Amino acid sequence: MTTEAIISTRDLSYSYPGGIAALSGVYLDILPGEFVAIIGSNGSGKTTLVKQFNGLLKPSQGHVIVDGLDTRTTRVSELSRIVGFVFQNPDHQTFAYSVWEEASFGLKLQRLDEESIERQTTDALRAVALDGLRDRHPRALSRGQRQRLATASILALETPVLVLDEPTTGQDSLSRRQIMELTVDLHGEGRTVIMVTHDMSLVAEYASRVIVMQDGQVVCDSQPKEVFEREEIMKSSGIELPPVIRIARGLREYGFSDTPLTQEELVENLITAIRR
Amino acid sequence: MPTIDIQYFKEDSFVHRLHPFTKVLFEIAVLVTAAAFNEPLFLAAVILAIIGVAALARIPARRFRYMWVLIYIVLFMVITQGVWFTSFGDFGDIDVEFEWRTLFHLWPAWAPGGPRIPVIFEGANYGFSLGLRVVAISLAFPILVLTTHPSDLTRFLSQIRIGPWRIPYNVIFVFTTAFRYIPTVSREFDQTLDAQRARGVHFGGFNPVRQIKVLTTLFVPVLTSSLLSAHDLTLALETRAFGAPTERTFIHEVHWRKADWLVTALLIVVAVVCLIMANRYGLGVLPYTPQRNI
Repeated sequence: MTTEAIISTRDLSYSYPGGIAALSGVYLDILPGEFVAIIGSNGSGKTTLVKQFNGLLKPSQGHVIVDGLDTRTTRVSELSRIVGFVFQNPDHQTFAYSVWEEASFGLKLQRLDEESIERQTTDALRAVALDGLRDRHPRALSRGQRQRLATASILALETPVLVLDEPTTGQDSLSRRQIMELTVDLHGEGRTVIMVTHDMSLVAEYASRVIVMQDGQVVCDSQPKEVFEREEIMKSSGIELPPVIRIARGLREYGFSDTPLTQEELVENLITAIRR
Repeated sequence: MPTIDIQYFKEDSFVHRLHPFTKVLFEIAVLVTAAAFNEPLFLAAVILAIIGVAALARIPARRFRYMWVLIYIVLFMVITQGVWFTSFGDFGDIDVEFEWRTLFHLWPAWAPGGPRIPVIFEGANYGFSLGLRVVAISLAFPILVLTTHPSDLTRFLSQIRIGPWRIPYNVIFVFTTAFRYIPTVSREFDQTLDAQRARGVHFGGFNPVRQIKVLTTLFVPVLTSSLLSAHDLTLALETRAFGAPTERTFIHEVHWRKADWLVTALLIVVAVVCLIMANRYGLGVLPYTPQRNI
């Protein structure tokens, strides 16, 4: 198990300076190609956990091994070739004068040849539908476009692992859908996707594995269906079930006991139940 | 955890309870004493006293951790003064037989044309004292901000009256907002630092040209977002009728207590004694202080 995991944490604990414990005793193995959703209430340690995955935070205790490298002894710039990290607020990273320059910056840092920079940047911009705006100033873009540009600047690095920290927060439903389609495509290409989110519909629909954080600990780590069926955990970590599951729960007294993850599944199950 | 952490924190210490004016006076006293001396030992004593006050205020040492950057300033002063010190020319009445002590040569003897560019001990010592002044002032400043609630500062400033004149509230507001925004900007800075590191920017390293380039990736986002949030702030102020022509009142008043009289008196005495020591008796002043009339 350990040998094939791309990210593994062993007895990982972390306290912020000043002694506030943010993570305690986390053991995780994230396998290549997984689509992991990390959920939990604000302050449960989600972001602290994912910041351990690319060395932005170093363990206070225990170890984080990323593709065989111990994050304690590896530079963040080194780990950034393996783990791409898309932040929630694009304005914290945009500094360049053009979309192209912004998106290709990380590749230039890696000292790649012109041809690869050209190709990878074009691919990344095309993936987020910004390839027509390569000479535009980033500040002249809309909020949604800036978010996509920030995503493209990470995509261009072509890292095997992608961490998305609340990618859909504050986005309208169109951008939300675009981001999720993109993420699904990337996952389809074989990348490992780790997503921190509060959007339970997304979790239900896309994730292959759900990690529930509560008070700095992993309280549940399983497939979406099983996680959403653990009612006591959902309640104690303050997670509201996705609408389809809430509908299904409302139908429980009529003998409907399924936990559907998508609208289609709900409809299908309902029809079968009615016909029966 | 912010890199630069100078935000007010609640604590029931002697320093916290002092009137803001007393603490402003403390800053002034530090400025005066640090300027009076240029002998490293005396400045070290000033720094020790400041650390004593910080301990009295129960400020955790980690809040001063970012001060390590001051080492570079001290080093810079020591080296530049060590090399160029003698070019000041006029050193007052030092002995005729006074000789500069050469520590070493930047261009060593074994190199062609060497030895050249001597580093002078006296210059390095003088540079060290200049560096220590910067350290003293940099250490003292956060004590005011860390131990005084921003609204106490506002209140104190609005209470100042000279005859009918008062500090316009707009000015006070600008001043206290600047304080209030230090932690915000510091947080922006940290988030930007994280975002850039996450895409492979390596901060630190020895190539100065590369470092300057790398710093733009930090300062451009921080400055733009600060300007944008300043713009948001003006809008928020407008909607809350900032500048409406009314008398401002405060729920809490800051009180001047007996301890403030004592501390104020003590600070004035210390500052005056230090000035007299330095200027009348030359105590704590290097014998080879450059004489300049600006």
